[in-house]
Amino acid sequence: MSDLLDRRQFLAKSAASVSVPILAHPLAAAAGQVRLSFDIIVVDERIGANEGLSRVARASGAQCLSIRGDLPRVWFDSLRGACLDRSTVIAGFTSDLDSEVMRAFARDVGYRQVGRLDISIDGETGRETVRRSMYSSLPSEFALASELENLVDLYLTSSPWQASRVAPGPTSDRHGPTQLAAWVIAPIRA
Amino acid sequence: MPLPPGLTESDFSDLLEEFRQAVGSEYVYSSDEHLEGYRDGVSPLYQTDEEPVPSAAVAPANVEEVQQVVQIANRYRVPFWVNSTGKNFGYGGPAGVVNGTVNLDLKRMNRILEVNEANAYALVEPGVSFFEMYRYLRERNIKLWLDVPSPGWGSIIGNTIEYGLGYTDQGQRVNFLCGMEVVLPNGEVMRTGQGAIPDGVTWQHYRRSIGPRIDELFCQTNYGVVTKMGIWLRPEPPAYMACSIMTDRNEKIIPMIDTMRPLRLGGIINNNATLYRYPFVQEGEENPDNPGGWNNRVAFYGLEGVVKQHWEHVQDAYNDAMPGTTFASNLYTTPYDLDSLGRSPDRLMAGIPSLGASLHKTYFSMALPFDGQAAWDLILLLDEASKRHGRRYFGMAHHVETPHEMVTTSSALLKPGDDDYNQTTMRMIKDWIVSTGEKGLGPYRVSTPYMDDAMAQFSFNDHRLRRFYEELKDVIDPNGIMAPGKNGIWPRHMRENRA
Ligand SMILES: Cc1cc2nc3c(=O)[nH]c(=O)nc-3n(C[C@H](O)[C@H](O)[C@H](O)COP(=O)(O)OP(=O)(O)OC[C@H]3O[C@@H](n4cnc5c(N)ncnc54)[C@H](O)[C@@H]3O)c2cc1C
Repeated sequence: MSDLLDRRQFLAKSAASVSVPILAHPLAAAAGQVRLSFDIIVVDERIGANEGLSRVARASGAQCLSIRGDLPRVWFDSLRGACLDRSTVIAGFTSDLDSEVMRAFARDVGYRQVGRLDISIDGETGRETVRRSMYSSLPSEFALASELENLVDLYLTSSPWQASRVAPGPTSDRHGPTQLAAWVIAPIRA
Repeated sequence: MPLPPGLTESDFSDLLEEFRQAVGSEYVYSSDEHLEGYRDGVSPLYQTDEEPVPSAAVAPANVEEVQQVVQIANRYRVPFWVNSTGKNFGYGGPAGVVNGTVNLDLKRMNRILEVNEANAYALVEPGVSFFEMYRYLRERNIKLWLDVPSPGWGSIIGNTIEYGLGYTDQGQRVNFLCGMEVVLPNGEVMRTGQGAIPDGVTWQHYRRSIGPRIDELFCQTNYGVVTKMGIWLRPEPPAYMACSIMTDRNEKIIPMIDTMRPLRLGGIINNNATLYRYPFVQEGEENPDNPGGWNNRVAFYGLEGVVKQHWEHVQDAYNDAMPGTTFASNLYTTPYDLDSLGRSPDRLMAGIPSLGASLHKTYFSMALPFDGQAAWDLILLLDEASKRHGRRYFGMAHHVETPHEMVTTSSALLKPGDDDYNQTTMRMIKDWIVSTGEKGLGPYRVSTPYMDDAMAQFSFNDHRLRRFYEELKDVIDPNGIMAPGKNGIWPRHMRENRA
């Protein structure tokens, strides 16, 4: 994470056409503005719903698509069609399984997952325990991967993790860490 | 990405050129960006030195192009691995066993060739997913139901020929497969059953020809590329009831299974009934010392009165054998509004693809007698084996596929990027395979890293079964190009690769 500010500064510098001010976000305020290049942001509302995220998505003109663990259905119903223009960029906050599934769906339409972060949030403390970039992005994909990191950071800080949502229950029914994956898919350029 | 085994850079570039001539350059993939999608990101070997990484991928549009690709692969003696939709998550994903394999991706062959409502069957190509078939039936108001695995992302052909499981009364779906078209490893096309008669009219009606029925030679093997398959569907029943039978203690799996057996054998319960741990226990918290119990999900299809009567009979049987059992049920009748069916198990048992989120896992499935004590003993055995690796076990799902057996699917967690953890998981699963083999129990479906270990368990008379498979392999695929190592079946020139 140490290089995140650099990336943010990079983004702030390169922010141009679709710049969105995210005033509520302290880090974003430091950086000034954040540009979003995502056309669609998919959010699994069972694990990834977050007001800050939806607000930013809306403000940037990205379509925010809410799912409930049914990514394959949404893929076949709408996302796959959206990729046919070979320019739509889609980001997502879903389960780690859905992130893997999305990698395979992307392959089917000549896209690829250009960035992915696996996040584990401790059920009791609400602390983020793991955060790891899965891929090394190509230079051409660097901006997208960086924006994803930025968005994840916003996600984790702009509205604090709701401890009540993951409060421990009886031993046999207790929630383990919440696994969340953030990803972005984009067309492979020939 | 690696070169295919035995090829130089220049051979490889010639090979790609020939593939391009056959299928068009747009459908030959060799860049890292493209090939990343053909790797198994849910493998314990992902991003390690041992990961089998593809060298290229080719996506033909039709049978003739598949034949050409296979013939080219023969000339270069290049191994290829088939993907129908290539979403075999937990069992190897899209990736093969051998490093440098070419992926033969059949995603473009995605036509539903026929749906016959009167005779309840469909003929499909490999790229047709369960979800697309489900949509196809609903949009045309065709009153047929299709048995599905829980995720809709996969291929009807890919899943069925891997002996994939669904949850309806056609849950052991391979038994509803009727007629195949196969491109053999020498590039010839063959049709099975009545399809071998030119323009055979009963190809999807009658499953045999003269002589043995050979469709299952192409299931879980590496003997041919299936390019068409017939599948029987079920007519929409007038009533459907989705039910849960719940107990409060783990060890009650014994009476639970023993109570179900006569009901299943007697045809009262007809679907692929499943038993899950209940309440759901997170990975890492599994162990047989946890209290908790089981949820047995069953379904009934038929006339409303009969369905209700069967359910009452089942409840009586459980109440007699296991006082304190709790029950839940939902009755649905025609006209169905399938898309709005609420609970995921209810959807699945009505053949509606569904899916809950799940963590990174690798799967191991095995066959068990339909016997409660056998299920409990297995749990304890696998727990003992898990403890040897610092883990605990508490089963995952038992599927009562047929009235005579059960299939138990176990999963183990993987942690992306944590090589030590993932290596331990792999060693533990191999230990599960060997420990159960020693008790006379065999796997039915495993992920690619454990295929040799799984096949090694079937060792009666100095591995005669494996030797038979490999004798067939040498005859059908003399150059050993198709999916070498799949389920431990290796071509002659690669047998020293066996783990
Ligand atoms: C959360 C989760 C839930 C799951 N639930 C289920 C479930 O309920 N039931 C179940 O059965 N599975 C289940 N799976 C496993 C798996 O995802 C599915 O079985 C999936 O359908 C397989 O992928 P596919 O259909 O794309 O097959 P593919 O990847 O296309 O094929 C699987 C294998 O079959 C062979 N093959 C494929 N096509 C051909 C062909 N045309 N000719 C010759 N050989 C071929 C290849 O060896 C290939 O690797 C689950 C997995 C996960 C992660």
